[in-house]
This record gives sequence, structure tokens and C-alpha cells, in this order.
Amino acid sequence: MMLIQAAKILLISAVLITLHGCCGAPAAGSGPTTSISGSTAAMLTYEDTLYTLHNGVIKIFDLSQPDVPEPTHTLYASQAETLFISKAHLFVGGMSGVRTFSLADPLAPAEVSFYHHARGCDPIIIEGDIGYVTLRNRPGCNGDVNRLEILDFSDPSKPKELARYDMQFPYGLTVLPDHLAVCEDNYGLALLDINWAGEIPDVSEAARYENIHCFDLIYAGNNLIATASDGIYQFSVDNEFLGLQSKIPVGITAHAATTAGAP
Amino acid sequence: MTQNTVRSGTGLFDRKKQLIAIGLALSLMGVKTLVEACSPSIERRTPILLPLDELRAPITINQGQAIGSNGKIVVYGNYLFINEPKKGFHIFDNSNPASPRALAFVPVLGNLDITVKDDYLYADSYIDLLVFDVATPDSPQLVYRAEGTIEPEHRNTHFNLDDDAGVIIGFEENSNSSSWSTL
Repeated sequence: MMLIQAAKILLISAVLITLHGCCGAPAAGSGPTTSISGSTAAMLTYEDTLYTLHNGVIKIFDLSQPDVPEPTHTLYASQAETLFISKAHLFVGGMSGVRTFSLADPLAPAEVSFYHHARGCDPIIIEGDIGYVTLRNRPGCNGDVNRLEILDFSDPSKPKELARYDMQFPYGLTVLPDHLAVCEDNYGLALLDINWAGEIPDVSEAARYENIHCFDLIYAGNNLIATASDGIYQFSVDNEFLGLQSKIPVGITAHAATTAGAP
Repeated sequence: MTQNTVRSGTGLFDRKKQLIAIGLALSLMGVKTLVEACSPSIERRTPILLPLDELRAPITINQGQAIGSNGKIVVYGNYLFINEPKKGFHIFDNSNPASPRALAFVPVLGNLDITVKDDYLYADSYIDLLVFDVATPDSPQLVYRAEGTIEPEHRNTHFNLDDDAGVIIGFEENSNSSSWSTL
């Protein structure tokens, strides 16, 4: 079971999506709509601000006039690779840790914490008060571990580690209603059960789809999109059962049909 | 050691500049442990330049086509925007996730990331940030180009090149390909 609070947020999000028939941040009414990104995103918007991360530099653009983005601030975040925005904070995943910035002033993010972890590439996602970070021992990234870390971000200025879970080659990830889904490239797509009953969350593997060699995930409207080197898979989600809906072929398979059979 | 790593006749570097570059590389070795960059940073290789007029040539939207390789994806309403690394992005109608339909391919040189807000799509193109109007996703329109606003992967100054010489998009294969770990 996932954290009850996270489930509530998901439920509320689902209701909002149903009510407004659109995607993106849970903005109220007929307000702005924003695309949903995977966990490896390096370009995101928040309110009228665009954040781009390239080569260790975050460039911030004012979107007051949305068709004429105006560069304003620059943040230096060496070895950073991914961006995630939640709870009015910008979370920057990097090779040595997670940098968290307050977006109280979206155009001038203020760093509130740096959570240092073992060396490894990859993303962080936030769901409610909980951060999920994958560390992957990719060649060239000086990594030395392959694992999932679960962090308490209830106070973004004081992140705390809650649990570690060794994995094989964890990469992109997303939160499903009942599981945490983690791409492990050639090791497949893992669905993890996270039990919050005890003092520390207990992680176990509920299912593994070995043939889905994915590197990132998006979950939106009961549709799980897995990007893999051979295609873009879409699944319906029913607990740990993923129902393949389609596969957009990529690369050498791209000349085959646009839909495929079971994974 | 230094003699073996010098590439001669590069055309871009004269001997003096090569020595400066080597000196720079050697001085950077001192901060190797501080840098530990993900990709090897070699100032002695011969850069391949993309001229700015080619980077900023008019963009012709193509009809949907096969995806050669896939990068990042965003979901926007009923549409999928799928990056093809360094090439551009594909647009699919995903109203029915059981049968996504290819609508268009937008060639954007150097593109790696995309995001959409209120029918404007923002895309990087090496050092530029592009804005497309995607209110009609099967015929996106380029509406703005913020030139030189994205941090380059390789700074021209590290190679003694002016910024208007173009964008460094790679290195000649016969360049010295040693990495930090072998310095």
C-alpha cells in the first residue's frame, strides 16, 4: 500500500482530471494547462516561469508574454540532470544529490536544502511529502550504487532519508495508485510495493515486466506510458496488472505496425 | 606525454594555440576531482561546428514519420510530444491510447527537451530556445526563437572560437579521444 496521503492526492488529481477533462498540473477551473513530463524532464514550467536545465546550468525564463520568453535568472547546478516541481518547490536531481529550491518567487528560486546521496545518475520525483530517488551506476557517471532511496520531504529544507532499496539498474520512475513503478532498462519495468505500516517504509517487488526495457514513465488518467528503446508502450493499470494498449515502434521496429501484441 | 597528445594540422589551432589548450587541459587536471563531469571534457579535440545560419534555417514541418530513436515525452491533453534526440519532436494524437496516430514531425536541430503550457511548446535547439504555437497540433507554427539563451554543451571559448563561428555539435572522429580518466 502506498502512503494514504499520496493515494488521496492521486484521487483528487483523478477527480480534477475527470472534471476538467484536461491534463497537467492540478490547476483550478479553466486556468492554464501544462504538459505532464516524465521523471527525467529537464524543462518545466511553473506559473509564468520556464525552467530549463542544460549542462549544469538552469536558465529561468519569464513567460509573462508566453510567446516571447525572456531569460531572467541563471542558477548553477553542476552535475544536475533532472527537474521536478511539487509543493511550490523545484527539485533538481543530480549526480551527487538533490538540490531543493523554494519557488516563493518563481523567477528567483532560493536554495533551501541539498540532500547529498551516493554518487549515481538520476531523477527524483515527489509525491505528497515523499521523495523517490533512483541512483544508477551508469558508466561515465562515477556511480557506485544501484538503488532506490525514499526521502521525507515534509519539510523541504530538511530532507530525511527513510529507506534504501537495492535495485539492478533503476532509471525513470512514477507513482501509480498502488505501486511505485521503476524502469530498469534491460532488467525491465518493476512495480514496487511500499508498505508504510512500520516505522520505516518496507519495499518489496510486486511484479516485473522483463520485456519492457524502459527508461522513463508517465502516468496520466489511468494510462501508463513507458518509453523504451524499442518503442513507446501504453498500458492500462489495474493494481499490478498492466494491460498493453499499444506500442509506437521506435528504431528498427518503427517500420512494423503501430500496435503490437502482449509485452 | 604532452607531445603524444598534440594533434597537428587541425586547421583550427595553430601550434601556439595548441600549447595553450594543452596548458589549459593540464591545469584543469588539478581540479579533476572537483569537476568529475559526466562526459569527458577534452579541449584538444577538433570541434565540428554547425554554422548559425544552418541552426536557424527555416523549419519545414513534416507529416508523421517513423521514429528513429526516442528521448523524452510529454503528454498534453490528448496529444503526445515525443522527442527524437538531436533531431526534433514527433506529435501524436493519443485520443485513443490503443491506437495513437502520428500527426507531424517537427525538425529541431539539437532538440532534447520539450514542455507545453497554454498551447505554447518550448523546445531547446542547441543554444536557442524555440516557441511553437501548438493550438493546432497537426500544424505547429514556430513563433519565436530566443537566440543563445541555452547553456551550450561545449563553450566555444574553450576552443578559442568566437560564438559566431557556430555551435559545437561534436568532434572529429580522428581527434584525440582520451578522457579524463586517462589523462
